[in-house]
Amino acid sequence: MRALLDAMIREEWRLHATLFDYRLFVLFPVLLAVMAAGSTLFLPVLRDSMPGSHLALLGHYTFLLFGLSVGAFGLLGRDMLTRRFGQAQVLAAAARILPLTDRRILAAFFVKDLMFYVLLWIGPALLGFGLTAPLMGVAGRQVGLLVLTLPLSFLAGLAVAFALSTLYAHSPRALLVVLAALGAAVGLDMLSLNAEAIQLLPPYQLFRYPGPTPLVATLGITLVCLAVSLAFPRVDFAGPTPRHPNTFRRLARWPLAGAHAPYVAKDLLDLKRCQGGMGKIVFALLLPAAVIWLLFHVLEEFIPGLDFLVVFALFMGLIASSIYNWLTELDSVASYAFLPVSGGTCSGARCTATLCSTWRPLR
Amino acid sequence: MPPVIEARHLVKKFGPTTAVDDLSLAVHPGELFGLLGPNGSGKTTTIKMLTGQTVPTEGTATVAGLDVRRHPLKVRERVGIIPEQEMPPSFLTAEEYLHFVGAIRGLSHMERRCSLWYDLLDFGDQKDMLCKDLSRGTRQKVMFAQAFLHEPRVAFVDEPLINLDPIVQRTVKNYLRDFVSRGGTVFFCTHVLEIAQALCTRIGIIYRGRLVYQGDREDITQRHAHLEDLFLDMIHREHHASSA
Repeated sequence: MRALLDAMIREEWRLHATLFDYRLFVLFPVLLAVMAAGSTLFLPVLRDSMPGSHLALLGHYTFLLFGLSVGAFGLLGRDMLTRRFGQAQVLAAAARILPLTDRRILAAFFVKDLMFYVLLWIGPALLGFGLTAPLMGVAGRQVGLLVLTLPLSFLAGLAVAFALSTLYAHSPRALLVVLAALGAAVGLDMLSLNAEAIQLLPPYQLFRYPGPTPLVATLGITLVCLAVSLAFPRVDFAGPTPRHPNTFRRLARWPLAGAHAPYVAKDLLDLKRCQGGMGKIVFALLLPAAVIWLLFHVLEEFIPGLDFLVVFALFMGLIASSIYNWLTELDSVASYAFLPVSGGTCSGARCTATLCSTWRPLR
Repeated sequence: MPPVIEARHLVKKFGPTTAVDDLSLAVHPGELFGLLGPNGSGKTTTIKMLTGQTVPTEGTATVAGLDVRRHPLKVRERVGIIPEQEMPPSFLTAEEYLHFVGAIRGLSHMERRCSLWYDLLDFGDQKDMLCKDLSRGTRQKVMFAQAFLHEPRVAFVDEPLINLDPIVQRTVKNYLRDFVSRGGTVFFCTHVLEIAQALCTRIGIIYRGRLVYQGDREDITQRHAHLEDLFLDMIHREHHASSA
């Protein structure tokens, strides 16, 4: 188990170092700490537009979502690795040819995610926040509590992602039902006047009302989810191999893409068929929208006469760049190297694909 | 007849490492030239330089009458390439990928072209499956088909028989023999010596980036009964020479 864990951590490090460039990635924790410290300096500004308790709630949900995304990516992100690195194999999959149980591999995977992200991402961010927050008038006790409860929120998110992926492995339909039910419950709660249910997030409750009950609830959710995923692991869930008609032929004639149509067609099919599908584009649309809304909700109080066009341009820029990210970071240039395609054509085609992908989900 | 592939003093350096060192060779139309060498000896880098995928550090090369430094794209337009590691994109079907390559190469009559390859390599019943769901062998068949889809006169193939079953291997070998008998030229990289001996009309052996032997079948049989003996002899000799 120790050897597997060591190898997985080393693999995770190298994977990120390859994705983001080794030197940049070494500096990433420092950058996170500085960014967190810098953002904390804006706390008084943020507090003017939003109560401190809401900010804390937002922080806990951000960490929960981060945990969910780390878990989901780790378990479902092989498609991306394959595209980015060619025939990439992650240890979690390759280890299955060794005499190791799926349960042990999954447990090592969980511990690896926890250690890696807490040490390199969450730790530095909390360090930056913890050093700056007292200067901004945040009570030492609250800082201490946040340093405890935010990582717990991440941990809960990670464990929930593992449980949901196990559910998905057994029945994708059951996962859809659970997600729809959760979405409906949150939606209904948001529509109600006081939106109390979303405040029941145990780590947040632990922050607000420190005591054994929210602590037990937080750890309970994490342990139950983890136990469920480890108790019912299922790695082989191949159904009948899907077949597809030749959609490329139709898409490659799309006049909007001009001479780049074949590349755009390939990118759209890649996006549609890889894990997450076109949902990734919708996500890339919604996340910047939320960031922009939050940013301008705050900034409009300090920048009188903020131009709508500037807001719109920033909004579109963020959406396009996040979609561009999906299209480029995920793709391997090597797949074009042996074809008569220049680097310029590839870049141009990628820009066209970004424009088309931005437009398509809005259609 | 002038050579269709000609390399003159090619050198490729990656930082302090010299991957290919002063390589010169000429391959004529109708030849099936096999470049043999141990793993990491510079075979793939040589193919990449000759097909304009990577720029040589020194030296020149012409392929199909084109300078690969000046016209890398035109070279890739004219030749067919089977890369060593690349596989067709995961989320296109085999049929869609061939149509994608056809669109890039500006080919018409794609249905006819594709069906020839479905029949020859026997993967028509899997053409509507995503490439990620295909077996390695079938993916290799797709890569073979994409390289010859535009009916090139010159082909660079890097371990083309890998993962193929013996039946398809025989088909591919026959296709390549037929291809060169019709005047085509094949530059064939492999480290499977039996295949090279059975297939290639001329052989080059590369070791640590240097071309240490070139000769035709006759020369090989005069020196040794088997290519394997010649290969091992050359490699040992070079190894001792370099370590002395």
